[in-house]
Amino acid sequence: MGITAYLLIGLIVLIGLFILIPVGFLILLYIKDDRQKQHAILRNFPVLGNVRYISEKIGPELRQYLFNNDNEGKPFSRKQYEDVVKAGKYKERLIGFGSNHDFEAEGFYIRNTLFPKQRDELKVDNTEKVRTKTYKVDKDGLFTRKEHHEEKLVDPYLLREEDAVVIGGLTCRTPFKVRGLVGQSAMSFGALGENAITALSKGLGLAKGTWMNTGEGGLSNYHLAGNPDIIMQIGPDLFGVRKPNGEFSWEEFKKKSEMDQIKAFELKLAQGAKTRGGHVEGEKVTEEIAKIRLVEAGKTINSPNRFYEFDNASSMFEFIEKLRDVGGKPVGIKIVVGDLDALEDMVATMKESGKGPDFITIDGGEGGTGATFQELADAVGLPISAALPVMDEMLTNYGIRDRVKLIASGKLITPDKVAIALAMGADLVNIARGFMISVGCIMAQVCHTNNCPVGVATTNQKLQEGLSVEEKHYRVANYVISLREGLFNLAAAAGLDSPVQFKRKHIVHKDDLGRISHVEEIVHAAMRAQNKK
Amino acid sequence: MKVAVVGASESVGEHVLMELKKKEYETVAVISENNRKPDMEKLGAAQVAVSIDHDFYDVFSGCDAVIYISGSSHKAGGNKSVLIDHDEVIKSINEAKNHGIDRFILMSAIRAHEQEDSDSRTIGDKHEADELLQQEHLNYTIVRPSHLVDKSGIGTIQTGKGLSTDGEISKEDVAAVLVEVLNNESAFYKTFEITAGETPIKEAF
Repeated sequence: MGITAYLLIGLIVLIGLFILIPVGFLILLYIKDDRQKQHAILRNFPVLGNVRYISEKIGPELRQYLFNNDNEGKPFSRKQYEDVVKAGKYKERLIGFGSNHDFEAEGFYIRNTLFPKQRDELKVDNTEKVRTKTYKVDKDGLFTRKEHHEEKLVDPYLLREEDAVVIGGLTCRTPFKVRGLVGQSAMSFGALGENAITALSKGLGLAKGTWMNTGEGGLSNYHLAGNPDIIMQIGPDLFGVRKPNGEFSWEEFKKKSEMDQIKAFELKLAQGAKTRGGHVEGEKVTEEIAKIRLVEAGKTINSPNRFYEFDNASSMFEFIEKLRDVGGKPVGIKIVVGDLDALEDMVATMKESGKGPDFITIDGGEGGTGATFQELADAVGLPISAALPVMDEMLTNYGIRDRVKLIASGKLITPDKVAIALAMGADLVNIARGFMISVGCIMAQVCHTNNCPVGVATTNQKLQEGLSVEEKHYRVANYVISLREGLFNLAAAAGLDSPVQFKRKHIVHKDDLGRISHVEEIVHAAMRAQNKK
Repeated sequence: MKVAVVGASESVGEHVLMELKKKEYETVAVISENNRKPDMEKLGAAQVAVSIDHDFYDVFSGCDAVIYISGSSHKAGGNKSVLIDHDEVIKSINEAKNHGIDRFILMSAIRAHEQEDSDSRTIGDKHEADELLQQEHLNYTIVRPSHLVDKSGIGTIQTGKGLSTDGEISKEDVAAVLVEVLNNESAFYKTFEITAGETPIKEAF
C-alpha cells in the first residue's frame, strides 16, 4: 500500500469521527425525543427543542454573571454579594466614581449632619488589635489576578465598655455583655458542614465582640472551635436538650448552661424559613449528629411545629422563668412578625406579669436560608423594615422597651442596612447569609440539596474539602470587623459618636416620587391600621 | 523610670504604651483629644494628660524621659510641605529641658531630613527639630522608621543611613525600638533609620 492509501484511510476515519458519529447521535436523540410523552415541545420539534431546556438550565448562572445588572439579582444583587466578599478578602470598602445604588427607587436613607464627628471623637475601643490576614492585589490583569495573603494588625472597632449592650442585665445571674452590634444568625451544624461552622467559629472568635447562634441543630464541637460567645438556640425539637423520649431534659439544659462559652439561650418560635416542623431523613442522622442532637442515629426525625412545653404567652413566660432560674443566663425568643394581635397579646402579658424574654430576635420575612417551602419563604411574615419599628413601638407604648433587647435580621448584610435597622429600633443585628458568603458561598441556591458546590451548606466530605478553614476564618473576622468599622463611619456622618445612638430620627424614607416621610409616620400608620380592625 | 509619651494616641503611640507596660515603665500619655483618655488608660498609661492649645507641659514634671511620636510618614505626599509639626517638637524639647528631663527620643520618618529643594521632591523640612536636639545637649535618640505598616512585629530590624524608601516596618517593631533605646547606651546621641531586617532589636544598636 502506498502513502496515498494510508492518507485515504485516515480521511475516511476522520469523516467517520467528525460527521458520522454526531449525525448518529442526533438521529438517536431525534428518535428519543419523538417517542417520549413528557414534553410536547420535544415531540413537535425533536432535537431543536432541547435548546429550550439547556437555556433554562444555565439561565440562573447566565443571569447572575452576565445579564443581570449589578443591582438586580435576588436574594442578593451582584453588588451586595461583592461588597461582602471584598470586605472579607481585602477588608476594603472604598469605591470610585460614585455609587451604583438606584437613587430613584424607594428606600431608607441615613440623615447626615452638617457637622460630623471626627475620628478621634468616636467612642470606639481599638485597644485590642486583631491579628488577621487580608489579600493585597499586586497586579490585576485580564486573565490573571496576582494577589498575596498578608498578615495585618487591625483595629477591632469594639464598643466602649459603657456602650456595651447588656442582655438580661436585670434578670440574670450572668448577663450577656456584647461589645459589637453584629453577630451570626442561627445556622445549624448539619445545614452547614463542619468546615463552614469551624471557620465561622474561629473567625468570630478572632474578631471578638460578636456572637454565634448555633441554630436549632444543637451545640457541636465545631461551634466551640474558635471560642466565640455562643447563643444556643432551642427549637421545638429540643435538639441537644432532650430526653430520649423527646421531652425537655432539665439535666442536659443545666449542663449546657454551665458551659462558659454559652452566653444565652434562644427559643425558636418561628422563622421566615421554617414556620413548620423540621424533617431530617434517617440516612442523614449520623452517629455524630445523633450525639449532638441527642437523638437516635439512623432514625428519621419529624419535629413538631410548635413547642409542647407551652401554647400561649403566659405559659411560655413560665417556661422562660424556669430556664433562666436553672441556667442563670439570658433567655430570648425568635419570632417572625405576622399576627400583630397575637404579638400585642404577648407584649401586654409581658407588661402585666412582669415576666418575659430578655431579648426578642425578629426575623424579617425575607430572612432565612436553607431549605423551606416556596410558599412559606415568599409570603409568610412581614419584612424586617415593617416588623421592626412596629415591635419597637409596641414595647415602648407598653413601657417595657428597656426590659428587652431587640435583635433584627433579614438581609442586613452591609453596614448601611445594619445602621438603618439600628435606627428603626434594633439593639443588635443578626446576619446569616452574609457570613455564608464570607466563608465562600457563591449563591448557587442549592442549600436544600446537600450539593453545595463550595462546601458551605453541605455535609458531603468531598465537597467540603474545597473549603479551607484556615483561609476562610480570616475572611469571617474581616467581614465582621469591616461591618463594625462601617457602622462607626455612618455614625460619625450622622453626628453620633457611637452607632448605639442611632434613633428613628436619623433615617428617613424616600418613596419613588421623592416624597420623604419619617419612621414615626410609617409606624403610626401601621398602628392605626392595627387599631381600626 | 517614668516616661512621657507625646502623641500616644497615634497608632505607633498605642503600641509604645503597650510595650512600656510590658517592660513595667510608668507612663504618662500626652494626647490632644479628651475622648481618647479611656483608651490610653486601658493600654496601660498611669496618667493621661489632654493638651488643650498644646499647653500640656506640666505633666513633664517628674518624668525621666520623653518619647515623642510625630504623625509623619515619608509617603505623606509631595504636596505636604511639613511632614511633622517641628514647632511642636521644638516646644517639647524646650519644655523637657525646663523640667530637667535629659532623655528625649524622637520618632520621625526616613527622608524627613530632606528639604523643599531636594531633588526627590519629597519634602521633609524636619531637620530643624533634629538640629535643635543635637545643639541642646539633650541625650537624644532620633528614630526614623521607613513606611509604617499594620502588621505583626517580627522583632528584627535593619538600621543604617539612606535606607531605601521601598522598605516597610511594622508599627509594633517601631514601638519596640523606641522603648528599647530608652536605656540602651549605644543608642544615646544618635540618629537611626530603621526598617524591617534580620538583626534582633536588642542587638541592632
